[in-house]
Amino acid sequence: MEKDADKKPASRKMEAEMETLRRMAITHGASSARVIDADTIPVDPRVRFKCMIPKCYMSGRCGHCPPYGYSAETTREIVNACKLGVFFHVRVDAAIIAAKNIGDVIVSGRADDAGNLLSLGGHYMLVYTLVHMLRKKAADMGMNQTHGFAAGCCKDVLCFLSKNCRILNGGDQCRNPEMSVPSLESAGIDAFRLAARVGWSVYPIGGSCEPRSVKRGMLMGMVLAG
Amino acid sequence: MKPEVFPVPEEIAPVSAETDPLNLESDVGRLADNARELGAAESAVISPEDIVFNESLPETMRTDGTFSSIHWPPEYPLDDLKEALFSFRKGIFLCIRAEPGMPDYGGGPIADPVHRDRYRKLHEIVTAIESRAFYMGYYLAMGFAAGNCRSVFCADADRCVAMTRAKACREPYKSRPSMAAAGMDAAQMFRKAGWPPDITKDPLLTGIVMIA
Repeated sequence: MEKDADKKPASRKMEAEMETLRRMAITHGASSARVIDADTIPVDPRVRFKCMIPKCYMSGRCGHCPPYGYSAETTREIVNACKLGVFFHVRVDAAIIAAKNIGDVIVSGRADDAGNLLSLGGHYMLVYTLVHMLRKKAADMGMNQTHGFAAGCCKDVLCFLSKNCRILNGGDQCRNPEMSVPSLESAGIDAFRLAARVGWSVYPIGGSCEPRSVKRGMLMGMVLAG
Repeated sequence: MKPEVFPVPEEIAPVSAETDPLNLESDVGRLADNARELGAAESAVISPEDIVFNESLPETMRTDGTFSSIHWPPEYPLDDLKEALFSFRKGIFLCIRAEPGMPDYGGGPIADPVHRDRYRKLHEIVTAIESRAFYMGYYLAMGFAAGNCRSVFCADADRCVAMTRAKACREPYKSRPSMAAAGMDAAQMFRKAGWPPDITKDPLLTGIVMIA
């Protein structure tokens, strides 16, 4: 992203507070976390299209997933208005995230004998919980303008037992308004590139991938502050 | 069934922080060769500037949409596909040979199974190249083929399942939107490529895979 010349740099106080949040993420289960300059966050229109071509089963499943949610343009505006972020990841064993037929298991929503669906769901829940905790702590420290981004589809993680996303069914209020945030990818943030740039080894894991082909998987989340 | 055209590498490399232009050049050239090995009659490395857009093409689908699918006509209310395509630096344009006397089915059912197989073959090449690029670290690779994917893969189904909210595509590893659905004028691009016109004319069995 291009740097906004009029944007004031983050104050020392804010840097210290973001470092507090970074440590908090690690303490509560993140495998690694970094404080990043918001101007370094790559927002790319292609990322949202990867949710729609071909159509992911999560696409259109909740109010955040494409074709709904933040357009890349909206995300750019949010990122531009922020100074710093805490970017973190939760490591997932390759045996779980690249398990044979895990894609089919996820789509079916039925627990598998190996327990991979439940385990993966727990990892996703941790990402949403961390984003929520960091934002709450940020608010306690006086940072009221924060934006959270998690991983995957919030409907599958927070409303797994409900039939539909309430937002998409009649525009009623979200069941989990405090916890529910868009995923990085649904908002057009190129999390893979960002992860590689901060020095994390992130692997492309697709439907044909086997656990032995990759060292690990990861789920990423981020909290941005203005 | 997932396509096994190219085996997934034994060891997948992590994503690079930046795309090396020299590596990209040689990788895209290799993928263009792969497309011919898989059965493409012609393939060429292209840049986004080589894509010819014709905004009226998706509109035509809207007016004749009696056999609609998730990709026919496409609906991206918040997103600009043209902007996404111009974010790529390199891609591969390819074509396969059409059967003699093959009619243009538009977006409707393809009655002749031999003709349907030609479309299927095109989709398979496009998705195989896209998949190979993905595992090479080009995780944003995006492919487009020809025709209405429902006519090719789900002709016997009452409806396109992917059009139902929260339902996935039945053939996510094989089916892709057509170039025309994305507003790309394949006929003009075919002419610009200088390929022999007897390969494929009406219908034009062309595809494109944008790599990185």
